[in-house]
Amino acid sequence: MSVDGTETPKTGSIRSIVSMIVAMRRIALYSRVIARSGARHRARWIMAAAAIGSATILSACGGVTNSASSGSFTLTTYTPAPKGDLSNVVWDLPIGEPVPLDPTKDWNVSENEVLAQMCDSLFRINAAMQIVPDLAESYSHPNPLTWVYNIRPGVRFWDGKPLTGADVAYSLERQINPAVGSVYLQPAGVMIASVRQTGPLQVTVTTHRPNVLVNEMMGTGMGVVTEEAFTKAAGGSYGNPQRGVMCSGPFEFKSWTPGQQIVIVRNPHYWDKALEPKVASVTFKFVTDSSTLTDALLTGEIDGTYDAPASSVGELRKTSAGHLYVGAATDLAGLVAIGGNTNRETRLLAALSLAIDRRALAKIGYDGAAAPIYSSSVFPIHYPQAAPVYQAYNEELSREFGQRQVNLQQARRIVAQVGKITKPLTMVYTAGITTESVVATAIVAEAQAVGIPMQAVPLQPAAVNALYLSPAARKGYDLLLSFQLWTDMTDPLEAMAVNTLPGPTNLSRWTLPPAALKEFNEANATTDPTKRAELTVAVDKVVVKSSRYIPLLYTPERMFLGKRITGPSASWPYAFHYPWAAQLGAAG
Amino acid sequence: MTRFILRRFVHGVVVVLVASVVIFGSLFLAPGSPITALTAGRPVNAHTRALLEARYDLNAPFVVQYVHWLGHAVRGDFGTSYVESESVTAVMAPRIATTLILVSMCSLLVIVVGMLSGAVAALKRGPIGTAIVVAEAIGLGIPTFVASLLLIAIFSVQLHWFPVFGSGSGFIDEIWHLTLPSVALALGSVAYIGRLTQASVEGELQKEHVTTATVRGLPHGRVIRRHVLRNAAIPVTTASGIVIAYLVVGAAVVETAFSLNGLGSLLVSAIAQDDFPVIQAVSLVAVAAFVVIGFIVDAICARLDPRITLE
Repeated sequence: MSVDGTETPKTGSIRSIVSMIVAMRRIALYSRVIARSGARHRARWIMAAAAIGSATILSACGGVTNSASSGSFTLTTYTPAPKGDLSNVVWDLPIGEPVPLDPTKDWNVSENEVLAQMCDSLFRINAAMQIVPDLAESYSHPNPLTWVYNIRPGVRFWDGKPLTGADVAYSLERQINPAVGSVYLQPAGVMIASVRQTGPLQVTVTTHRPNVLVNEMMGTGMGVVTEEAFTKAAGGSYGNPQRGVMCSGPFEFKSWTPGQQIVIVRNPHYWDKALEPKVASVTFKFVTDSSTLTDALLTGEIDGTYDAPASSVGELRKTSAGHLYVGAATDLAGLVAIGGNTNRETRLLAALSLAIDRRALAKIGYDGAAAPIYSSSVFPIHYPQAAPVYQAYNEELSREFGQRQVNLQQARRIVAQVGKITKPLTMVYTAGITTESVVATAIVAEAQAVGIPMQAVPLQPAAVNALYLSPAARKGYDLLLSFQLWTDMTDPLEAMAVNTLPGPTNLSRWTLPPAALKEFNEANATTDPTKRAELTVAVDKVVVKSSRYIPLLYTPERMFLGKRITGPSASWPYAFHYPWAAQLGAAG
Repeated sequence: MTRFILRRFVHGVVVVLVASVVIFGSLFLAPGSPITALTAGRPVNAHTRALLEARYDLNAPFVVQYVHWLGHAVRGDFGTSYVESESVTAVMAPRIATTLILVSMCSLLVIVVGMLSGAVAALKRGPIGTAIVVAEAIGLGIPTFVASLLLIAIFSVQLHWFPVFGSGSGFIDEIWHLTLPSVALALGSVAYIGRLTQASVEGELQKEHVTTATVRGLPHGRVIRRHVLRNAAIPVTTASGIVIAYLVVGAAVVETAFSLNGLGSLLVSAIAQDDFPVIQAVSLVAVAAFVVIGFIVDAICARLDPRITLE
């Protein structure tokens, strides 16, 4: 199922010429790269599980296979099982160095990627995107407001102390205590009414209203359990480079040299025998520059990475130094309307959505490793238990919106009806990322082709963050081009909650009308997967019509594994909270 | 000479102090909020916001905050990084080491190669001089990041002589890791100092006292050493000092390209993340480096031309 490297070996001199050309091509793009040395920006939806065969995804996306690009992609879930142990694997974090490895602060992919190797959650989301038991051996749901978690007995922290209900209650309390300022406080934490230890190995969580998302969030960083005594003693320095963390996961914290690397080592006493690490240690590097990372992967200095540079897909596919795998993700590129909300603007945005050639964007921005999408929350891969519902819905959307010629005619018609447009639409995007600037330029050209005047403005990551916080920062801008909008879980309700309920995370400020809100709440109170999915789709139909969020591309995960390693799943759960490094091992 | 040094020292302290006010003040006025950095950009409610503001003393008036910060800074305590929950000193320490080695290696290249090639180009006309002038033109023309990519493509990816990225551990390993970065970084400066040296030497060669010395029959080597090179060295030394001081934080591009943990990339990422305590500390260190290097340059110039101490 993998994308095979079909490289014809080149002789030395041709190779050098080719690589020189490649280097020169990169130089042209390099001016943008410099700004990337800071934390690469990932906006994140909060919250989200499922095994689907690759064939279904291909059909659901209306043909992900992009024949126009240098190749097509097939989604891989599992890579070949390792054949042996390794002493050390060097792994990159392309988003950059983590902020503290504290589960109340693991807002970004880098933190999740490292923390998930060390700390267990109550649940975990596996490679097939299913929520499965982790530290919570079982749970019950005695009434719509109550969730009771039974903690696995016999689990110990690395220091040998037993993991108890008190540690679990303490860890969850930290997530909802405003004084801690957890990144999970909004919107999930505030939905929790109380956390109580109700037995030596039992914790009970109650919610303000029926809320299945809160239960599912226990499979993310929010459900991570850290040792109470250690965490209290560390205080404000918990999770920093000197202190590290104290958890029960498959790897232990060894060292963290700021700016250079984080080293984790195998926990010989890990409780889950199915995930006993085959590598003695993993060294995480923080190479953010896409050219440098590509070179380091090609030379084998770095063994592997998730989120391999989109701009290097071609090279990484061809090399004999390893394999590029493309896996299912809940990752999306789209446009969020952050400006006015008049009828006129809504119609213009609807026209814009029709005018954009998503297939072309996938080709120029991702070398074909992306697919058009027409819903901002519901992906075909969502929620395995209800996959047929979500797939059928996505096919329906593709039929409705995926026809280029019809779309262009409609777009021009809408623009003509709107009348003279005096002020161009202003679209902002994050500076410094090649793919973003290329896609932004293409969108402007496509908008202008149907008569919508538009301009693109690059903003520094901090300025993009400010858009979320202050209305003043949004002033004068109409659209935010946002890449890698991702969720904590594979339940589409999470993305929907973030995008359409009132609150600071709702950037467009558009909220669900009362009837749809009622359906949303009903969906979130429903535990039956199919019913829940049907209600979710009904709400999404309203969201799609709002035009406040223009979904563009579904961007699968790109994982590169050097030839000496294999094992980790290629799909997205690494970014949620899955100990993928425990699957790493020797390829030969 | 002692008075001269003392005067320069006081001068330096005043510069650092004034710079500290400017650095602290500009961040105080800058757009963007420390709260954004503290919450990693995730939206927070008013209550959390208030708690964070109280904990990090963000509501105190400017003067109070400044005096508080300066009081700690002089004792080497620059506060806690908003982003890393670690003391700024601990965040900077490994980076200062990397930057120090990188800047030292670059300085060596700039001084030795730059000055030597410039002097040779001025004194040896003909093919050698022309070759040096052409090489300098290329060096000045190639931007640092292009040089970085080419060096990596050739010496790391193709020839496997040097690593692609990282700063290494242990002295020898660090030198090995920092060779390509220092070449990439020094290229422009070497060419610049080379040009300057050449112009300066050529200028001195035209001077009357040189002609007089030659006419008086002094040996050619002695004329060159005592009358040409010594005088030509003064502007070159001053310029080298400025170039080297700039490298302390000006290496951000190279640090990014080679994924080094230096002060330059720390400053860039701190700015991108609104990590104010780190920005303040790095800026202040950069100013201090300028002052120290300026001080060394002045001392060297004073030695070359004792009249300078009389100013």
